[in-house]
Amino acid sequence: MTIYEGKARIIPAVIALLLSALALASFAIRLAGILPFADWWQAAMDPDLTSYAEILVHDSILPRLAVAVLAGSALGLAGTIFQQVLRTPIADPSTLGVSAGAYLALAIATVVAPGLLVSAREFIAFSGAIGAFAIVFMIAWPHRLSPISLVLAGLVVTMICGSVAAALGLFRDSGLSALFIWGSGSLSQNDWSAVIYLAPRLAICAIIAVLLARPLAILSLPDDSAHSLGLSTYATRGMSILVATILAASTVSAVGIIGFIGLAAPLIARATGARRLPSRMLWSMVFGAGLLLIADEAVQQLTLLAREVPAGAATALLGAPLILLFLRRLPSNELQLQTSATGFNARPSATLLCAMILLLLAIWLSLSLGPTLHGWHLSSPGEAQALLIWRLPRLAGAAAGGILFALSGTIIQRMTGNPMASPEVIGVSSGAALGILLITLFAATVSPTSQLLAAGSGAVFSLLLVLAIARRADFRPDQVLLVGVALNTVFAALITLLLGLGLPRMYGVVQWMAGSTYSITPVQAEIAVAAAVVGLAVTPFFARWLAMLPLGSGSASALGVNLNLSRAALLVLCAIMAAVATLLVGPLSFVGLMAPHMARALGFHRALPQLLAAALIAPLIMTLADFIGRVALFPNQMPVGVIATIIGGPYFLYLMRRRAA
Amino acid sequence: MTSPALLAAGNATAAETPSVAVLDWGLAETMVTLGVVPLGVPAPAWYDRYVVDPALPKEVVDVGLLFTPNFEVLQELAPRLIVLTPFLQMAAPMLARIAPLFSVTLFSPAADPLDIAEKATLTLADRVGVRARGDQLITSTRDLLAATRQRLATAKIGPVLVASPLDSRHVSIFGPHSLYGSVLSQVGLQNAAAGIVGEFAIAGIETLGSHGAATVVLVDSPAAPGMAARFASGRLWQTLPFVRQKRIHVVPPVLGSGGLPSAARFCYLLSNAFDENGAKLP
Repeated sequence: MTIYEGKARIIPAVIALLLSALALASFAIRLAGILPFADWWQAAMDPDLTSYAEILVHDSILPRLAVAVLAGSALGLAGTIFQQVLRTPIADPSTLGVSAGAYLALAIATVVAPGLLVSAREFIAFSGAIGAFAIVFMIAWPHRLSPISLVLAGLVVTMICGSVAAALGLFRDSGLSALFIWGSGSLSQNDWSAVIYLAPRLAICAIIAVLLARPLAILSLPDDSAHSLGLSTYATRGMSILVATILAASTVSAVGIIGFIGLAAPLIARATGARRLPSRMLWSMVFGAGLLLIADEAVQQLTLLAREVPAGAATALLGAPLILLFLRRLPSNELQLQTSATGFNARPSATLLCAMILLLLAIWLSLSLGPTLHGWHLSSPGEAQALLIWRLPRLAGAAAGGILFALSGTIIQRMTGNPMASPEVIGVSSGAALGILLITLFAATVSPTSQLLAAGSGAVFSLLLVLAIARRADFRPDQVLLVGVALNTVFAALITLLLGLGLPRMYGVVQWMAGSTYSITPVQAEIAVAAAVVGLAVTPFFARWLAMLPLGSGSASALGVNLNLSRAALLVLCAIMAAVATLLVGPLSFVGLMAPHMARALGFHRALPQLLAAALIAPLIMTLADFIGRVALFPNQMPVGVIATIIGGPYFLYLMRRRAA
Repeated sequence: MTSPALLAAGNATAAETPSVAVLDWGLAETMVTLGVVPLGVPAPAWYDRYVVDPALPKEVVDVGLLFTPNFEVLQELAPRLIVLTPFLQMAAPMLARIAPLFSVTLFSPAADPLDIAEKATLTLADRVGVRARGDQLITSTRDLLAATRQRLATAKIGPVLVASPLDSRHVSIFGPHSLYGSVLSQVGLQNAAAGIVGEFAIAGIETLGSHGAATVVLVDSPAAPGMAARFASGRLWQTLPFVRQKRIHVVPPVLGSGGLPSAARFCYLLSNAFDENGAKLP
């Protein structure tokens, strides 16, 4: 690597210079169109208060440029710190729940206290972001703030916040627009308030980051080595992620969710040759600012259907190809993220039987109990017969979706050896969601069959994309995850973009996306159950591969497993099951993450028992979720996906906290 | 000058309840104006904030959310007809088990939303058996629009921009394919945002300068209450030509996806706004 050193200093500099030059050129051209060059200085320093053009330049265009630079740098720096602390290149400022927490806080304010939103939006968003982070911190604390626990807790908190926010979105009709604008990130300015908000925070955090650079660099080593060098890992990690979170939270509350910069900028910095941490920090700030500048310039020069494309969507569309381009040049270290096994279950059959009984009980309860216009009512079997048509199909659909997600999630987690994997991490669920959105957008009428086809096509398309790209890296788990995350981010940006266009027909899709089995018909429910049965029948045949792959590619191939074939086959199986399940209960498939973990926590570690246990736990959760969703806010109904996340999430976090690292 | 909604409500007698559940706010306001009180409507509390006028009588039952009406509640109510829009087509198979369905497109961002609204009002009135009142509603709305057109003709108002605040930095601006835009064209006002594709576009406040010559009508939004007042304190806002020359009017909320009653309400609010601000009306 020393041969690289000479070039290494030039390449990032050259690229950064080019990017910035391009952005500034575009900026200058735009500015010249509004105000003659001669007036630029006056407009910047002492604008004429009666001239709209000069005030526009002073109070909108210049602050927007400044905000782009500040936000981009902040995100780049935050991303570097997160990636360093979490020891993974796929960390992003939103990994620890910052964006999701802010979004949730805003969603709550939109529904409950819109007046407060008008006057104190930054504060609300910031509080939500820090609140989410605090929960993640608390969960990871007993685990010595280990990277895996931070990432896992962050993922869970993100999903819980996202679910609840999605559910809240269903209470509103047209008020969604403002939230979507914020969710897709808008750099639009009409005063200097955002600059005044961001600048000092960035400055202070940057100074602290510089002071932390040396201890932080040592965190690249395993914990033991770091300790022997005299480092307090707890303190260093804690301080660093706090600083990075404040950076991310400030940015998010000022301009909304701008994804990808925090992920891409550090990666580009590293891939273009910056190696040591202080150098990476600096260059990721530079690249972050450059990327955001370019993206914002592009956004202002182009308009889509006479509407401005949100900056967040633009960065995602811009950043994703960049990441995929640099994928190959990343250091290749297989992520060792196995969580340690707790005790084996002494009485597996008894536990499974217990779960089965609970499931049947839950089903009976759900079908018989419910509120009416005249209060609660527990139906006798005869009366329940009449209500079956309203309750059974959605129950069956939810349970079937749960089973499919559980199987799919178990496969993914065992295959990648990564406990934070879930079907949506490989981008399948979002691909399916995008397919459905597109067909809703472009087709005059949408039938369930065409929806299924659209979802299926979307899922298959994203799967093929992942396979094609990951193939070059021999389907290594960390690469698959990285590609999946990249795809996910792009799809999420596209989805937010489409939703943000504000077309009324999209609101029905919002409901589906939140995970609703609301309008499922008996025939569709039957198909769903059939799919679940097929999944249950087919998956055990792969148990052998699933037992060996978590041992790592070395051991697995030594045991005679054809790595490429097994991984590809399992990916396909996982994707198909996930696509069907997504169609049923939406893309917020927290169950796919939760159920395998809970199976493990109950002591089922071997492949087949874990599959079966997960496939029993998931429908139990979904049945309860379906019931609660139906009765909690009567006559309003909450989507089952959301409720599953809300009841399962905290329980999952509690399990995490309780277990030793 | 009273709004046609109030006039029509005066015609409704309490006994007229042909047992209908209406699963859309625009259709619900139309039904109420036609003198038929629905058995159930989704989220009546939100209706009050977004539609405002005509108000729903207290006995209307809450049947759930706009996109997920509660099947069990509807079955308990046992209406003899369910009126809905094509947005609920996914739920149609299940709803059809409760009562016959009648699907009507009341609002669509097409070339002439008012025309669509009129046709929808007629088909709805026919289906429910109050054809005469349907004709009456259409006539009174047209009369109101014509009268307003006459009054505004002499006022020389120039292009009008209809916008609604979204947050502290963005507004939606409405084109000719919106309900507001349709009313504008019927009362002879020119729409400053004629180039918009679809119902509305989202614009940063700083871009409003390009509509400097227009008169701005800001429709308050229940999603961002008091935002219009907050705009007024911004320096950039104060330099916008229409603000400096006091060519801006703030009106209370009007349902943008509503039917003839909302159109009439908007027309009435427009006319009041121009009246108050000294536009020269006879």
